[in-house]
Amino acid sequence: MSSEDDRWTLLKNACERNYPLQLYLPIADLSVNIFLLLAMGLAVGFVSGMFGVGGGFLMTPFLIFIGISPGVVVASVASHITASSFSGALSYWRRRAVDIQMALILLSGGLLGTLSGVWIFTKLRALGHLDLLIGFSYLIMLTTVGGLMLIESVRAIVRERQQKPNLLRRPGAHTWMHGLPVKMRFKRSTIYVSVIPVWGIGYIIGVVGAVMGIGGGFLLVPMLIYFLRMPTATVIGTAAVLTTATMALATVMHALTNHLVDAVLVLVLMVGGVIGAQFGARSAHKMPAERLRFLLGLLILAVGFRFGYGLISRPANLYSIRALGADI
Amino acid sequence: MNSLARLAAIFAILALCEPARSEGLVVTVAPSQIIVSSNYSGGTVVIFGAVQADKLPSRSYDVAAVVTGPRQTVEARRKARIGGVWINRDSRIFQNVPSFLSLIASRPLNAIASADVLRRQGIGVKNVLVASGVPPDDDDPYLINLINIRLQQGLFSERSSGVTFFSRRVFRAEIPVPDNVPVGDYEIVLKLFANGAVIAETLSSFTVVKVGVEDFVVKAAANYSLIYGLAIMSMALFTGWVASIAFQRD
Repeated sequence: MSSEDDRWTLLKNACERNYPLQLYLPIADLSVNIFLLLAMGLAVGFVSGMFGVGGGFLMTPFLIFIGISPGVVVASVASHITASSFSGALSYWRRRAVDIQMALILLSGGLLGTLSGVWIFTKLRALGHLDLLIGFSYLIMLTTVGGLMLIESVRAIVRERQQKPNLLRRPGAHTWMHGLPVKMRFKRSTIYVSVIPVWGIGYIIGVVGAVMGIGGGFLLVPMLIYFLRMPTATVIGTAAVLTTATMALATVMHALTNHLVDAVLVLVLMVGGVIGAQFGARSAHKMPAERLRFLLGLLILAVGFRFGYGLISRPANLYSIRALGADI
Repeated sequence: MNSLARLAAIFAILALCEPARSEGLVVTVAPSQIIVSSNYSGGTVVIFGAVQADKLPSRSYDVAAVVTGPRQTVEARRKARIGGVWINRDSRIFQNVPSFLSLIASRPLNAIASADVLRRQGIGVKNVLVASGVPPDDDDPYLINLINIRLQQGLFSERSSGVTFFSRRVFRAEIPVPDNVPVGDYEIVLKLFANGAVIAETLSSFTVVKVGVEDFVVKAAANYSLIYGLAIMSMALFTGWVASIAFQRD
């Protein structure tokens, strides 16, 4: 932890020395180098554009590392993801790669999930175990999803090497979820599936997104592919629509309940993020899908392990303080 | 009795009460207001002061100043290992803790006065906290760590060099104010020492305020949170839309 702090300090100092332009963040109550923030926005935006995910799972820990309080970070990152995923959603919409019917059902679950998520976030913040919850959720989700993606993509790459057809989506291959009632035909995605798991996936993504300050794209994309057997062509665009809507709602809810959304922070992150996302999306076209999934899996797993390490390693200082409120 | 006579009587009483060897302290604080705007990255408050004495002093004076920011209730938490992970377990609440506490002096504190005098006068980081009602326990790990963390954050500081005397009577004190201080009223208590005892003291203040966009953002987020949230959301959607248009490939 301490060597990492040193590295961050070095990076911060380098930015401050070469580009001495500090920007004061009014809600976070501290000043940050504007180029450091822009660079973070660009880097995370690049990753998000490349893999079709919001990038919140990277941005949130980045901002916490530079000293912004977790509450402000989670609330502000929601609006940053709104911007980058809306930009992505529009691009996919123009390419007719959005299953709007699917998106609406996911959304009805997602909006309810977001409301529950913000409620849980507020309760836990009052209890003082927010750090622990965020750490644990990151650990479990990132390692699980990262690990599964890695295994799946390695299999796909091996199959390709052996010149076998890609078996990711066989027509007629069903999971147990396909046996549930209230079935519906999704024309754009060419699947016939019950709306119950679709709604459930939307709800889970909504809760996770609001509590962890992430869009949940990295979770949603594999869920849609593996559980619903949705074709890759419509998955990313549909996920971007859902992420836009849930994160837009999360922004408003966080502003209403916790008053922690920092407009200045959001603006700088957004500008870097949307530009980075466009460059990321372009580089992604040059790479085969399996390799992209492999790299994303690796990245997710690495962030997950970092969180795990943070939870089990002895902290440099066992004590921490926080202000509970102003005394008159 | 007319008012002039009354005034004269008061002065006469005051003159009688005043000890023969009297010293006073006059100070001026600049700026009286620290303005937090978008390029704010900390500031400095300068105090000019002069010792008023009937005749040129034969002895040397010392000055110590305590600057305190708005008071807060602070929770200090201790992590413990439970089931293999480190989580916050026990905690203690400290009330009336200054959000900012800076102590400057003309010489090292132990050279200015005895520990006992410093404690009674509330000079020194710990002495200020004790004077604010924190139980004076020397071995309380929560209090020790509270102070250490605040020192690391730059919100608490203790320097023996902040006050410089130009002549025997005139001095200048500099208080650096970091970027992470809260807005509000800041109090400066300045004490004049001679021969290890306090012979005069003054109270002055300055404020830290947010102005312009920063002030607007804070007030909007607190008072008009729905509109604020909707505005941020619209800003995000607009940025996303602009980006998707700007980078559209035809």
